[in-house]
Amino acid sequence: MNEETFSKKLIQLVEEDVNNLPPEVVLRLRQSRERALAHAQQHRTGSFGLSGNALHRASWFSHHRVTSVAILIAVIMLLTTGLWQISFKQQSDDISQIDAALLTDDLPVHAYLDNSLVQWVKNPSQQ
Amino acid sequence: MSTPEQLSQFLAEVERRAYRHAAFTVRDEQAALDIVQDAMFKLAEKYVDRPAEEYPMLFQRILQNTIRDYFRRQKVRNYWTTAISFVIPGQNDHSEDEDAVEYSQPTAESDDPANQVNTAQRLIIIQEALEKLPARQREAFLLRYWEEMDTAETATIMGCSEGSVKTHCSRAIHALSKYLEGKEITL
Repeated sequence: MNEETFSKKLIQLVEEDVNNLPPEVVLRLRQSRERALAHAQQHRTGSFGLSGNALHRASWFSHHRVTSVAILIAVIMLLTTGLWQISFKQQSDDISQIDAALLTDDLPVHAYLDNSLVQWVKNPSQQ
Repeated sequence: MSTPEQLSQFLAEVERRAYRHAAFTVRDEQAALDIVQDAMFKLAEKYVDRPAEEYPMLFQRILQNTIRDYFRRQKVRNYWTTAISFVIPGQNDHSEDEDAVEYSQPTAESDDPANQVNTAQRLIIIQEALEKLPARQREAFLLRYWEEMDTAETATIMGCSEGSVKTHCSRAIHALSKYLEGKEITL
C-alpha cells in the first residue's frame, strides 16, 4: 500500500470517529460556534456603526498600542513643558516689571540735587 | 466579504475535526474544547470581514497558534509546579518535548490482538498512534490529509518549507504504519 492510499484509509477511519463524537462534546462545540457567531455579528454591527475614518483610527490605535501610549506620553510632556515655559516667562516678566518699578520709583526731584545722596550712592560705606 | 451564513457553515464543517486535531495534540478533551472555542472566537473577531475562501487557511493557522499558546501556558505552569514540588522528584517526568516520543514495540497486554480488536478498539489504537506522533509530523499529516491542504498551504500554516512538510508527512506515515503493524491493525 502506498503512502497516499494508506493515509486516505486512515483518515477515513478517523473521520468516522469524528462523526460519532459524544453528545456533550457536540453540544459544547455547537455552543462555542453560536457564541463565536454572535460575537462576529456584534463585531459587524459595531463596525457598521462607525464612519470609515473613525473605524480606521480605532483600528490603527488598537493595533499600535505601544505607539499610541508613546504618542500620548509625548503630548503630555510637550504640554507640561509648554505650560512651564509660559509660567516661567510670566514670572520673569513680573520680576522685570518690579525691578523697573523699583528703579524708576518716584524719587523726589530734589534728591537728585542732594550732594550727600550722590556721595552716598558713590560710597555708601562712609555713612 | 463573507456573509454570516458562510461563517456559520464553515465553523459547523470544521469544528469537529478541529476538536479532534486539538485533542490529538494536547491529549486533554476539555483543553481541546477550549482551544477550538478560542480559535472560533479569534476568527469571528478578527477575520469576519475576510472572504469565505480564506477561512480554512486562517482558521488552521489560528488553531495551531492557539495550541502553541496552550503549550506555552502549560510550560509556565509546569515550571512553577516543578519549582514548588522540587523536593518530590519524578512527578513531572512526562516531558513536553514531544519530538522525543518514539514508537514503542507492542506491549505484552496486547497479546493476540487480531482476535480482540473490533472497530472501536481499532479507532482507539489509531488515535493513540496519532497522539504519539511528534507534534510537527502530526500537524503536517493532519493538515495535508485530513484538511486536504496542499503542500504550499500546509507549509504556510506551519511556517516551514514545502520540503519540510513532505519530510514530516513521509515520516508520519512511516511511523503510523509501523505502529499499526506492531498492533496488528490492517487498514
